[in-house]
Amino acid sequence: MVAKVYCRMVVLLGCLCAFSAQAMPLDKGEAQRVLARSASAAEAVVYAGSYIYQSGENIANYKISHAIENGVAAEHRELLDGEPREYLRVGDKVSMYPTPGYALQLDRRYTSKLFPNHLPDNVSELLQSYGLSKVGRERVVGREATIYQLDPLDAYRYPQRFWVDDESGLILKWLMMGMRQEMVQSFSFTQIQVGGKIDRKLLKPIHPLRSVQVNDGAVLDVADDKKWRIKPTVPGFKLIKKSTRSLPHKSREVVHYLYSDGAVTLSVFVEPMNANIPLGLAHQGAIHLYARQVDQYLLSCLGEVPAVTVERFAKAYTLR
Amino acid sequence: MSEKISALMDYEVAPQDIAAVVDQLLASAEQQAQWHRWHLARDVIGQPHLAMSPDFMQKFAAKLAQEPVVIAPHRLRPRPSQWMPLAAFASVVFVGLLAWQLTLPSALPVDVLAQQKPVEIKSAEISPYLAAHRDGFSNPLASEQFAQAHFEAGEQH
Repeated sequence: MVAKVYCRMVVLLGCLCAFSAQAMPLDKGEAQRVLARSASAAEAVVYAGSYIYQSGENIANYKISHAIENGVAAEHRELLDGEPREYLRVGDKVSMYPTPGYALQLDRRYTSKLFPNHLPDNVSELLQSYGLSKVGRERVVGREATIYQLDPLDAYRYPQRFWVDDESGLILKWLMMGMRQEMVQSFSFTQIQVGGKIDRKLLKPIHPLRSVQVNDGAVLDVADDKKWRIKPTVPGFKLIKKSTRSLPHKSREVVHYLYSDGAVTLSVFVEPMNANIPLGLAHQGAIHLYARQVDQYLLSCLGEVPAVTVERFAKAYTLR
Repeated sequence: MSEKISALMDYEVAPQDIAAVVDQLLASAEQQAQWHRWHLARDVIGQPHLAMSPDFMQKFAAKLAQEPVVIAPHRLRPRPSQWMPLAAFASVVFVGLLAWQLTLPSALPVDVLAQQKPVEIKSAEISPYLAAHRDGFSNPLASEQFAQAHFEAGEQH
């Protein structure tokens, strides 16, 4: 009997090895080195090109230029599909077109955190929730790249895969996957020039930009919340933003708690009870929503995470 | 427990013990995952499932070949039924019952009826939340189309 079990184990291991022939887990030091290189490359390397953002069936094309002028990083982004949108950042000054419909305040720590600068400044925190493995190599936008994957260490998040330019360390492609390794969201360059001289004209705004207020984000602690006792039971997620805002195209106000584990974000919305949102679980592909009523309040938790994560977060709130 | 799962897969558990082993199996997600992995491994190496005898397909094919081929099926002529008057009576009784039920208030409490209805997800109501979540901190450039929600009840399987 025992021999049979071992025999099965061997077969099973054999299958696993065959299926993921090239996946090679990296040790913590090596993982940290890979992530840190990509994180700094996005800020220090000069590049220009265009990228595509895909979520579900929707696709949007963006033009991006990133240059260093007098030691200050400047980036210019333009949405090429539909209504024009522009984003210009010089150092930590941000201006946008059109002016956001609500009083948008950006957190200084995150103004530069758009693709391909996805990685958090503190990559070691990311490695508390994910392991990093090298999946293989591939040619992307005409450049040689190495494929890495962030594999969740628990059942509260999904894997993420990214392609790193061998020459510069820049992330050329980022894929957020669901529980069946299907695509949830992806960012990928469709054309890129790395290094060399970037035409200054590329950084010039096309539309009349308005500057956006950038704040020094406070270090938030869930224990400081006056109204709610928040006891998250999911490890790895930190509260990175709390704001009171009106929902887009709606007049009602919600309190928005935004949590991040360094690779994915999760939102908890608190508002007066509203019967339009179904209580319990709902999903759109791998994106989950869990809503529950607490007294006269509606709590809804939404994110590109498994069902168990949104449910646990929604249940982590109790009235003080 | 691994051995019991293994034995269960091979039909080596005594019939009176099967229920207990299945209960134990269901009690642990890890054991269920193992159960699934072993079946997967067995599928991969091409070992037949014991639920079917190894020559199942041959026997089935032989039986199928012996079935007569119906070229032009003729219609069975229905015999006039001796139940006809009874059926007519039953339909009158049924209409009466229906009319009686419709005039009486439903005996079921309203909230039970409401629970039986499938949960309707108003995706248009979820869109603003999705938009707010998306531009949370990382994507103030997201175009409107990305907030289109198509939610359904339950979790992803």
